[in-house]
Amino acid sequence: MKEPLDKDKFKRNMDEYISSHSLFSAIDQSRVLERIDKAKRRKRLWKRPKLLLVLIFFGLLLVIIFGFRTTGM
Amino acid sequence: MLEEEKRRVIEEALELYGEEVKRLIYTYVKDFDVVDDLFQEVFVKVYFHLDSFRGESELKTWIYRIAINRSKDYLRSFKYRVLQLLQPVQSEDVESKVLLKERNDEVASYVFQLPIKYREIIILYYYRDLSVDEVATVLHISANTVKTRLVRGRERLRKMLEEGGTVDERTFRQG
Repeated sequence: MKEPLDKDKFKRNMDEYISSHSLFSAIDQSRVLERIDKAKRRKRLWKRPKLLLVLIFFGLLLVIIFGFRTTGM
Repeated sequence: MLEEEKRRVIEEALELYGEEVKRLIYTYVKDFDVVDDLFQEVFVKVYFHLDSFRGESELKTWIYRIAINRSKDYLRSFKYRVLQLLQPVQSEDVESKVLLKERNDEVASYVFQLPIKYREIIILYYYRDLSVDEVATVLHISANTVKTRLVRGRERLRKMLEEGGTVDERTFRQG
């Protein structure tokens, strides 16, 4: 009976099976780094709750003002 | 850890383990489009959790664990379940049937038909060259469980090879 898993053959077989589609490239690296930078920017904003509150407050104020203008009150 | 140092570590990790992590994710999700997305998520997570890495295991083992957990989360997700429901329609595709037939003599094609609990052990042990203890650490199970699953996984593979037919993963889900 043949042995199902000859390690070297199995590795080659797996590499072929998964194919070159999965090859890691410089594009993958830059995408990861880009995503890290985006996440860092997002985190930076959330780490400043006061700034965030001020922004939300001004946002609400603008909505109220424009709301009154468009309804003509 | 300083930002620059973290960046250097992540770049080095990408160079060293990028390829193997990508392949590892594929062995779980079996979909190249999903692999890219999960791969990026894994390394973003690695970056933001580098401070909590205590160095009890190798960096590679730690990244493997994150990649495996993320892949399993995806397999449990609603999105994946919906895709699975649509799967029978896709498998009617003639081209994929021919491809499957051509690949039937390859051990890899049989490994991909094994249930995850056996597949992951065989892949980590034989393909990624981890020791039994390392596999146990990565999967958060005991070394004895790894050994048992290794024996059972091999046994199932042997049976599949002897029968020579395509065995659907669902056949083994209960076991």
